[in-house]
Amino acid sequence: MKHEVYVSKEGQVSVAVGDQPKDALLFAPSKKSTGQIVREHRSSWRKNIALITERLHSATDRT
Amino acid sequence: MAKTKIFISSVAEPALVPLRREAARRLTELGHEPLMWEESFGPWTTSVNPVRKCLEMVEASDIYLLFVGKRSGTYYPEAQRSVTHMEFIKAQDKGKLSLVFVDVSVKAAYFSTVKWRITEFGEHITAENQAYPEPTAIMDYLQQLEEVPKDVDPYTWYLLYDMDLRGVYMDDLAPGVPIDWSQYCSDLLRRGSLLLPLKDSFIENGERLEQYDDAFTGITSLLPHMSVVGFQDVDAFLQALMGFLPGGSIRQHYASYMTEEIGRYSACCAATLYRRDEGKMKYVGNAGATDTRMSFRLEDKTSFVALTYGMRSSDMAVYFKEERQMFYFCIRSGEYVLTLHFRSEPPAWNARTYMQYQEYVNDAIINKNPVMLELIKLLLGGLRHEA
Repeated sequence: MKHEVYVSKEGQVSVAVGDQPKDALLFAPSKKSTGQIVREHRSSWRKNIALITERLHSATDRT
Repeated sequence: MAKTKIFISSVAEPALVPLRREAARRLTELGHEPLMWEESFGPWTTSVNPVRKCLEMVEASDIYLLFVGKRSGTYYPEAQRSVTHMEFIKAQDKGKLSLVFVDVSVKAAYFSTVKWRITEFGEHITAENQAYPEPTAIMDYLQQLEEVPKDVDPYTWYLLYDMDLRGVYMDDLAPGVPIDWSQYCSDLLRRGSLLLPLKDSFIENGERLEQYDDAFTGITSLLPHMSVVGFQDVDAFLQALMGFLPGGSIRQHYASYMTEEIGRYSACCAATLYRRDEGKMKYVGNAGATDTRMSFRLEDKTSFVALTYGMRSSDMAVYFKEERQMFYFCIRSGEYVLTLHFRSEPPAWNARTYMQYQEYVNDAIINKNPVMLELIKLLLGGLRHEA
């Protein structure tokens, strides 16, 4: 689901809808913190490495 | 020498029986070991659950092969899936190489008529009930539609939809056109031959990555126990930081299928650092070309620095100003707000394009190097406040 985009203009912040003046400041807060992103990446690559290692061992196991 | 075990899956549909037999015969001839319930699962007692037995055999196989015709096979209401579908899910879950062949007429009807109907129905029900519809609801819905072929079991469409969502390629199964199994096996041999000699490099890379990760974990757990006294040269710090932040591509994601470049941004061209001091965000340092203001009031809604400091839902945000064609990535850590400036590359972005693609802008800039950003946040958060 998309996060809402906000606009700051004339000293007020509101949800951005439709055309905006060129000097408007548009923004969208991040859904996740860097800590969350890093944890997700770590969890993902650790699983990947375990799977790749296991597969490589079984692929080269001649017994 | 171990043989390649190939699980042959399909519903018990008369039209598919000769195909299964021929595939098993040819694969055996080529030196492989096909697994089919009617030929190779051996005798089992009444205490053995046939579904569990099939799933175990999928798990024991090296390759999963599936033929899909018009019939969907036995549906298990308690699992809300057919047995063939459960075999497919098991193969996906266990990361088996899967070869899927679908009757050409069923496949054509699915992509031209059925797929968008299921998508539309799913979105409608999800919006209404905050939950995705169950397979039986999708089947009931499809049965009401005149344009959906009635000689195909409704569950077959659901199976295809699931395979489609998972990005599984569906090969054609055409009547009277034999499948060249030796060609398939040769292609798999080629792919394996390219990768297997890289075994040691893969394993070494994995070990090195774990070492780097352990070092990062060590640094991030030690830093909070330290007091970082301050900057020797804050501008030089920011200048050095900019060197770690190259430009990149902003890409729209189409689920897991593909991405498309919708814009680009240049390398970080400026960085500023502000720190809260009573009711203001006060200038600490900068690098690159910026219009520097010495302070912002905390309630100043025109300042991305003040807005980021005051945010409750998040500790970072990407801002965009059309007149400057600039993305401002603001990160709050403790009493500090760091802003990194990235110029959008031509063609020019406007408010509408930013509003349409903001999630991809955030993804492109924030996900570029989250490890680096996390480290910077920890450093700034640990800085001792000077009176």
